[in-house]
Amino acid sequence: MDYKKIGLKCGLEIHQQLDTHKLFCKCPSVLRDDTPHFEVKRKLKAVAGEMGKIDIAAISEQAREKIFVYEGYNDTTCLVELDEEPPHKLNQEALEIGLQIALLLNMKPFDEIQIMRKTVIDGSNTSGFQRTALIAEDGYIETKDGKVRVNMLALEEDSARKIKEAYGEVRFRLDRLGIPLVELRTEPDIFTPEQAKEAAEKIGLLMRMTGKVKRGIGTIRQDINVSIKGGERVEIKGVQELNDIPKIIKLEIERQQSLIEISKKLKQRKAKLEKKFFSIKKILEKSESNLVKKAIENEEEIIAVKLSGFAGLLKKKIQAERYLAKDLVEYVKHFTGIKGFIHSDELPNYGISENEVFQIKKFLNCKNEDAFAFVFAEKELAEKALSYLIDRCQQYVKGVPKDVRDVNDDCTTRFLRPMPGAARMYPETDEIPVPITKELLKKIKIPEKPEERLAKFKKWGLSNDLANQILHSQDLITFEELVKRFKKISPTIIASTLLSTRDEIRKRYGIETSPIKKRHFEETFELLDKGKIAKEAIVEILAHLAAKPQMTAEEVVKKLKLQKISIKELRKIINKIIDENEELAKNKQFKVLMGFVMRKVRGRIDGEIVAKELKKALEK
Amino acid sequence: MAKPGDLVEIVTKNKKYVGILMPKPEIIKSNTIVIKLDSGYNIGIEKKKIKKIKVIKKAKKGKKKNIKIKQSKKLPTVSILSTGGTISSKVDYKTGGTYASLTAEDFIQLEPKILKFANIRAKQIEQIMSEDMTPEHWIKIAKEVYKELNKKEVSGVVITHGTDTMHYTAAMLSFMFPKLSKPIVLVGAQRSTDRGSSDTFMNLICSVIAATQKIGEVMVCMHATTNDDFCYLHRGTKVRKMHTSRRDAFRSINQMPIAKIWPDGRIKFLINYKKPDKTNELNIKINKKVALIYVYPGINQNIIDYYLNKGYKGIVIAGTGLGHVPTYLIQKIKKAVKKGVAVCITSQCFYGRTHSFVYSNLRRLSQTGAIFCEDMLPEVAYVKLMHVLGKTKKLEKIKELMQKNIAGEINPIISKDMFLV
Repeated sequence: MDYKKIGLKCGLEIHQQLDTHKLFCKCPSVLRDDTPHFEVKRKLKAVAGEMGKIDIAAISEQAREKIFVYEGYNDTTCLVELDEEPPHKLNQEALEIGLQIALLLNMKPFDEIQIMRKTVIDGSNTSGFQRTALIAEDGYIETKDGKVRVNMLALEEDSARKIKEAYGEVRFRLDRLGIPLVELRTEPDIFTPEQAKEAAEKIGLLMRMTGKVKRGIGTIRQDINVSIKGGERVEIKGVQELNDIPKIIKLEIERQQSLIEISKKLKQRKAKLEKKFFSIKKILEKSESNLVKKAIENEEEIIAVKLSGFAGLLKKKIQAERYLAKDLVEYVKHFTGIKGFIHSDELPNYGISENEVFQIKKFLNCKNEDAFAFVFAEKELAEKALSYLIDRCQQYVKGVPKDVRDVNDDCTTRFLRPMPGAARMYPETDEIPVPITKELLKKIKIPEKPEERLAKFKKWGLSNDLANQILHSQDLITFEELVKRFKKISPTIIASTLLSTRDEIRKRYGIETSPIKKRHFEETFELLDKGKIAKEAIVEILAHLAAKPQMTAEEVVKKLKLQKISIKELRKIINKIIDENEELAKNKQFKVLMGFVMRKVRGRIDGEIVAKELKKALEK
Repeated sequence: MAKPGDLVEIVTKNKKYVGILMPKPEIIKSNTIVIKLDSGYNIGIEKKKIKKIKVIKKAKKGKKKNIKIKQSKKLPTVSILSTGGTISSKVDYKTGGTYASLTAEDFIQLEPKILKFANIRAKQIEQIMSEDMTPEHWIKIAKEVYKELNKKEVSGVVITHGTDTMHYTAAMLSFMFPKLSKPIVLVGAQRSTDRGSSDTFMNLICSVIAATQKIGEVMVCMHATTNDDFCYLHRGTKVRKMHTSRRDAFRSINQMPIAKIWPDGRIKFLINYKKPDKTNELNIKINKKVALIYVYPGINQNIIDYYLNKGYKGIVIAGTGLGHVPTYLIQKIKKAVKKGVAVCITSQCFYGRTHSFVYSNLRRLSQTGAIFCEDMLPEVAYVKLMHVLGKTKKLEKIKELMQKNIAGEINPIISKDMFLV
């Protein structure tokens, strides 16, 4: 596809969790899966922002009155997360990490930052807003296809984790609420799907250079803004997998192109949508349809609306296998909770006959180009649903609606909420402005950049491949610390141990390696550094530590008798084995004898030395 | 000249910024100018970097929407008198904090659901944070409430109030209205109304519901728990703010709350309450020369002399435990009583009753003529003593009145359940 011709423009918004305590209280930033200790029930209300406007996204949430349940832990969540205590002073460490990232991205910090309240009433913040502060602007990164400007960087608190939603009740966990996040946004300087992936990768790597960002699932989230010529800026939220980015963008292009086509068609047809709702219960009274029978039995109303100009369009695929009607259903469901509607493009069906369809069309005064839709529900709810349906159809006439969308597993997207406006921000009055002084900036050390680190690693003797692997690894900072601390150990051994030992243990011993912590590596390398063990023992020691993480490396060495042996001791062992196996020695059965020796000394001395000494002994 | 609210262009050496000029908090010394960017974020620009400020568009004056309120003949009418506090707070761009700015009419706009339970009359009588309340304000509020109570169509009065001293006002009104034909309900908020999570909304609905009940008492209506599920209706003389920030900060002490109220209109009474009188009686005569002293280890005994020299007529002591004071203070108290000053003993434990003789310290204290105030809260004893001193100067009479239950301030039977409710 010629992306230039279609005018593709993408921007990224990246959220990265920082590895410190929470932004506005001293609670640790830990996510938990054990049973929460308590829960609290709350409601939220849309309120006017600073400029006196109520944000459209906020109203959309309020259209559905919901109860929010918050789960918490007595030892890791406090009154601040519960919105029962004012926020403490901004976490200084988080601010400093934020500034480090800003400087890595060539950004300029502001002179003074003001913590803002961003109205969010989907329940994910107990307060009804998210605290956020803009700290820097005007940076850039380089990609193969050119410069991508990074225009803003904010420090903000993460939202509560959604656990479940059912029966008008949404359940959140407070463990994530308040974890410091860096949010950064690029200009729409990205012109191909692949470039978007590259930019996201680069930014992620740069942030990791601080050694102070969280790693693992859910700790970094990418939002992508996509627009094409004639389309509209659409925000796609919560992309977790970098490799999905190109596909998501391609599918969004498809969706916007389909909607542009549909809009053209609707304009040609002079579609004029009206919120005129009619009961068609009479027409369907004697219908064979089970759906209708059930509705009548439940004393529900059947309310219909004409969809001017929409005939044939509702079953049109707009994104992969997704129909336009599916998008409409999701939109209506979002605002009213209604599960679905029936439309004329899928009729006759569900036991509704051709004649009944004809009767409804006639009753609603539908021309050939018009479609209709109806819902089963009580009158008030049905009309509310159809009213939202008409709103959405009107948006289609105009073109691509300005949506915030959520990613599905297959990289298609679904409606999440309308695009929020600027009215959703007002100052956090519980905090005072924070000056970013020259003294503070002087204190901030810019971490080494990826290319600087690569050069350094190569100087340390790492192969190109290994250097790149360790640069991208979550053990990057540990690696550098260990190299600095254990000067006698070759950095290559440290790097390859950090990178591959876990896999090797899983494969060779079938032991889960997540209990292996930094401490275990440190202890093991300390023994190696002091010459107490051979490097051949490392895997075995760590495997044992994985199974028994409470032990120390030294204890494991003692228990498994893995102390390094000297060449003198080795020669003794070899001589003893040769004495015991005269026949084999005479026939120079090297392989068999090697096996015997190794059984005694495995992990305690370099195998090559063993082979050399055995050969020497056999030649005598 | 650019004024706050104007859309401006700010030119610095390196860059141009466009945004809405924000007023700076006056109380914070600052060398920056704050603007609101198009993204909604506020940022500060150092003044000395600025070369030029150009006004692009002058601020538009916001039009206030007038709402039409339909009167329902089926519903009772509730008067809402607003006095200020967090419940009527908005963001203040002058101080960067919140300030009292909502008028009473705004409450309807704030929570239209109150119209399901009552027709609303509204009046703003004060605009003050409750830490700034004085006895003068109590008198003013009492007079305004009295006017509303005497209106035939009004079935009850709601007073919106800052929470810090709401229990003082509630107690004082309890004494000032010896006869009450309709309920008086004080209500506040612990989270300001500009946030979606504000407790204002539910507190307001529940207080309006309370004001439609047939109760002849002054009460406080606030969140019962940290959940947004129901409110407690507390007796005005048995309630205290027990937490700096939680929604459920107000607790009944040495007494169960009068009722639970749900925002859907349900109400469940937990204890007996006073039925309405036929008429209203207002007694605003108080003596303000009363002090409240919190004793502590090492307290300077001259504190008593200070108040005596200043001509105080009553001193309430929040003693330790059962009502103890350091022994060296007893002679000063004796001196005060001799001079005709009423000294009342309460406990800084809040929970439980004072006692005049279980320990020798108490006996000696009691012999001085100090008045032990049963299970009365120190703040309640403080306002009650003002009220009592407005009636009489005779120590004997003062003692009799202080130890007599006038407005539910003394609970003769404290049951096991009445602790940390």
